[in-house]
Amino acid sequence: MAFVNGSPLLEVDDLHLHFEGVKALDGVSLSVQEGSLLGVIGPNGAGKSSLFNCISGLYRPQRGRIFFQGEEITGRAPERIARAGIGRTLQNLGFFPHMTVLENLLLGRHVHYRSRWWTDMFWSRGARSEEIRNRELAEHVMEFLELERYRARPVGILPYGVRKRIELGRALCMEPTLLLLDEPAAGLNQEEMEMLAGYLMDVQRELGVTQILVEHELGLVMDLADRVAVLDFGRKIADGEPEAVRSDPAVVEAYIGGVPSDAIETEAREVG
Amino acid sequence: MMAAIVLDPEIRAEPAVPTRVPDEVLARTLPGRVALWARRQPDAVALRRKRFGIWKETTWSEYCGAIETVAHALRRLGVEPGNAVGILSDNRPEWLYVDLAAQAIGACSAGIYQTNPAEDVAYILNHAQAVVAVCEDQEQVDKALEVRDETPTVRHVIVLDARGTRDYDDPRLMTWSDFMEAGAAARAEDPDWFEGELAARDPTEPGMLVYTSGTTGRPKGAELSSASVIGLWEHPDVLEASPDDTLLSYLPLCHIAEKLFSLFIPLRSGCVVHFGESLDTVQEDLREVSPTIFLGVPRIWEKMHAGVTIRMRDSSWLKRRLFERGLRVGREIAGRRLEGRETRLDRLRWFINDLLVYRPLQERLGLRRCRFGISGAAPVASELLLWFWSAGVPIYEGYGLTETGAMSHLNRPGAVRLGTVGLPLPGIECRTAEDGEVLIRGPNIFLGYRDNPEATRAAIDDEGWLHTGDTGVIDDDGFLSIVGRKKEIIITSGGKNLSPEKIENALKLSPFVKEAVAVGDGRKFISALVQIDYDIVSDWATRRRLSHSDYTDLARRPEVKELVSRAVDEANEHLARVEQVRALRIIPKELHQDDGELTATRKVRRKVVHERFDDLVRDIYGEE
Repeated sequence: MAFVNGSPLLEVDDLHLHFEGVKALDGVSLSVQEGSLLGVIGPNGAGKSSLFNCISGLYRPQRGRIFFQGEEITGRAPERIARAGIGRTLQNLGFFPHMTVLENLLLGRHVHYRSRWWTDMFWSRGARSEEIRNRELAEHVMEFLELERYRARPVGILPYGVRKRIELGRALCMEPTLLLLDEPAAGLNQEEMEMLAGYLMDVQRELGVTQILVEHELGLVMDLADRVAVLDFGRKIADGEPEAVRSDPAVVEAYIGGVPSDAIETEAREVG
Repeated sequence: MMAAIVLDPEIRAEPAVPTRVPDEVLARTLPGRVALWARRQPDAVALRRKRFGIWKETTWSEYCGAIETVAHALRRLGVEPGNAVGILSDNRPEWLYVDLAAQAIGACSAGIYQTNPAEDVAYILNHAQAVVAVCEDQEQVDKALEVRDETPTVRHVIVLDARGTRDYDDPRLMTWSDFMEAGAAARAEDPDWFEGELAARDPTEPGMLVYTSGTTGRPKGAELSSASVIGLWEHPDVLEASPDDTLLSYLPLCHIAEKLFSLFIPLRSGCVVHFGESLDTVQEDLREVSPTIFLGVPRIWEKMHAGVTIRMRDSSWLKRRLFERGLRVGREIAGRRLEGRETRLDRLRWFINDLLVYRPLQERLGLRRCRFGISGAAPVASELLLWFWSAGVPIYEGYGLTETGAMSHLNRPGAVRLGTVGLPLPGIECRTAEDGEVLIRGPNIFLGYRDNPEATRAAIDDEGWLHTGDTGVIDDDGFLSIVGRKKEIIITSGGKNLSPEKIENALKLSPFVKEAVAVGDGRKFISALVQIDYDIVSDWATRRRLSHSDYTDLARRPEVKELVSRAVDEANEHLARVEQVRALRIIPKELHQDDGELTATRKVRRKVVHERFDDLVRDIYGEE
C-alpha cells in the first residue's frame, strides 16, 4: 500500500450521537490522513452509517466535533459540507432511474453549479462554458470508470453492479477531496468486486482522493485500507494497520464472537 | 480539491508535410503513402477517434507528423532496421502510428492479440526479436513485464494509458507521453532525417510481421512488405474507394483483414478511418459513424441478423407483417438484381419498402450509408448474405489469407455470385491443384515465415504458387468457391467429402446457436456439437419462466435441446442429404480462448473441441 504522509484531512473528536436512549455513537474519535484509505468495519448496528451521517451533515451529533481541512464542520448543512469537498456514495443508490447515465453523472455536478435559472434560460456565455466544463468532467469520470457504453441508457434498466459503479461516478463528479463510501461492494459478485477494488485503488492513486470505506466485505477492506477502525455498539474498539487489527483480540471478540483470529483471515482470504 | 480527473490527454505531434521526396517514391511504401496524402490534402481529415463523447479529428499532416515523431522516438530507443516493435493494444490511432513509424525506419511491426495469455505474448515478442513493446494499459504491461526472462531482446515497454502503472519500478517501462516528448526533442534536433528514411526505404523489405492465429500449433510470423500490399494498387480499384469513404476500425489490427481496412485501403484512396470508444461500444459507434464501406466477419453478420430476428419477434403484429413482407419482396428483387435483371416495377416496389422497412432497419444497424459490406476472414452462409441483400445492404464475400497480403478474391459490383468468394483481384492468378487445393500467385504473395524456411518452402513452390491449404472449385467464369480447410474436410464412412464450415454456418443461422462443430469424419452420418448463445437463449428461457443459474445449467435443459433441435431441422433444409445433421449434443460450457478452444480471432479449434468433448461424440455414435 502506498506510503501515506501529511496532516490529517479529517478529524473526528469524541462524537456522541443517540436517538431516544439508543446510543448510536459513544465517544468515537478518529483521524484520516490525506491521501489514505481508512476502512471502517463492525457488526450491524455498530454505528458505521451514523458516523457517515454525522460527517456529511445529515445527523447532528449531541457532543463532539468534526474538523475537515483544519476547519470545524460539525452541524453544518449537508450541501455546505458537500461543497467543501466531502462526497459520498449511498448504500441504496440515489438515482433518477429514468434519466440516462450521463444525466445522473451531471447531477453529481450540481453542488458546483453557479449559473442561475435566468442565465440558463438565455444560455449566456457563462452558463454555456459551465455546461461544457461539467460535461467534460462527467465524460472523464465515464472513461475513468469505463461507463461509455452505457452513456445514453436510462440508469433504471442497467444491472445492479453497473449501477453501483455509476453511484461511485456520481460521487466522483463532485470532485471530492474526501470520499465516503457506504458499502460499495454490497450485492456485487466476485468479479464485480474485483473490478471495484481496482477502481478504488485508482481513485486513491491516480486521483489522490482520500477515502473512508464502510464495508462488510472484510477481505476488500483488509486489502485496500491503509488503516482500519473497528466499531462496536457505537464505540471504537480498535484502530490500526490491517494486520494489527486482524489479530486484535477485542476485534475478534466483537466481530465474530470469540472465534480465533485465523477465522477472520480465512474469511478475508476467501473474499479477497 | 481533488486532482482533476484528466486521463492521459491525447498527445498531438507537430504536423508534417514532407516536401523533398518525389511523389512516386513516396507512393511505393505504406508510410510514404501517408506523407503523400499529407502533401495532397494536408488539412483533410484522415482519422477520427471518439473520446470523452466527442469525435476528435486528425488531419493527414498531423497523421504524418505523429509518425515522424514516433519514428524519432523509436530510433532514440535504439530500434534499428530489421528490428521489430511489438504492439499489444486495441485499435486506436497510436497503433497505426507505431506500425507505420516502425516500417518507415526499416523495422517491422508485430501485432499481438490483447486476449493472448502471457506465454503467447512471450512467444511472439521473442520470436519477432522485438526491441520495443507498446502496450495499451496496465493489463498488457503486466504481461509484457511478467515474461521478462523469456524476452531478453525487449529493452523498452511503452504504455499508452499509464493508469495503474505509475508506481511500477521496472526501468524498461516508459509512458507514451515521455516517449513522444523524447521523439519531439529528437525531431527538433534533426528535422531532415525522417524524409531521408522515407526516401531510402526498399518497398520489398519486410515491414509487417503478421502472426497467423493458427488453428493448429504455434503461430507463424508471416513477413509482409509494402510491395505485397501495394503491388495490387497498380490495378484499378474494384472498390472504387475515395476520400469521401468512411471506415470503422474495430476488428483486431493484428489481423490482416483489419489492416486492409485501416491501412491499405485508406492509404490507397484517402478514406477516413474511425476509432470508436471501446470494443463494448461497437454498435453505438457504428450507428454514429455509419461507414460507407464496412468489413464484417461472419460472426458480426450473424449477430446483427440474430439481433433483428429476436427484436422482431417482440414487436407488434403490424410491424412484424410489414417486416416479413418487406424482406420477402426484397429477396425477390435482390435475386433479380444479382442477375442484373431488375425491372421498373421492382424499383417502385423497392422504393416503397425502403421507406417502410429497409431504411429504418439499416439505420438501426448503422449501415444506412453503407455502399457495401465486405465479408471475409471465414466462410459465411450465403443464406445470411442474401438476407442482407434483401434488406438493401449488398455484402460482397471475399477471400484471402495473411499469406496473400489480405485479399486475393472478391465479389464486387457487377460480378457477384453468392456462395462463391468471387473473382481474383486484378493481377492475381488462381488455379486449383489436382487434389483441389487452391493455389494463388501474384505480387501480393508474402515474403515468407520468419525463421521458418521449411514452412515457407511448403507454402510457396518453385513457380511462386502459394499453397493455401484450402480446397476449392473454380467455375467456368473464374469464380472461386471454397470447400474448406484441406486438413479439416470430413470424409464420412460412405466416402463423401464434406465441408464442416458449410454445415456449421447453416446451423449458426439460428440466433440461438453461437458456435457449432460438425462431426462425422470416418462415421456413418453427420452430427453436431452446439454452443448456445447464452444471452439469447437465457432471454428465451426467462420468458418461458424456465429458471436457470448459468450457461451449464441452461445447456442441460431438455427444453433447450428441443429448441436447438428445431434450429437443426431448419438448417437441414439448406443442406444436401449427406450433409444433414442427424444428431446433436449441446456443449456443457462456453468455449473460450483461455481454454484453448478458440483462437484469438474467435475461430473454433475443431480438434480441441473434438478431444475435449470426446464423450459427447462417443455417446452420439454409441461408441465405447
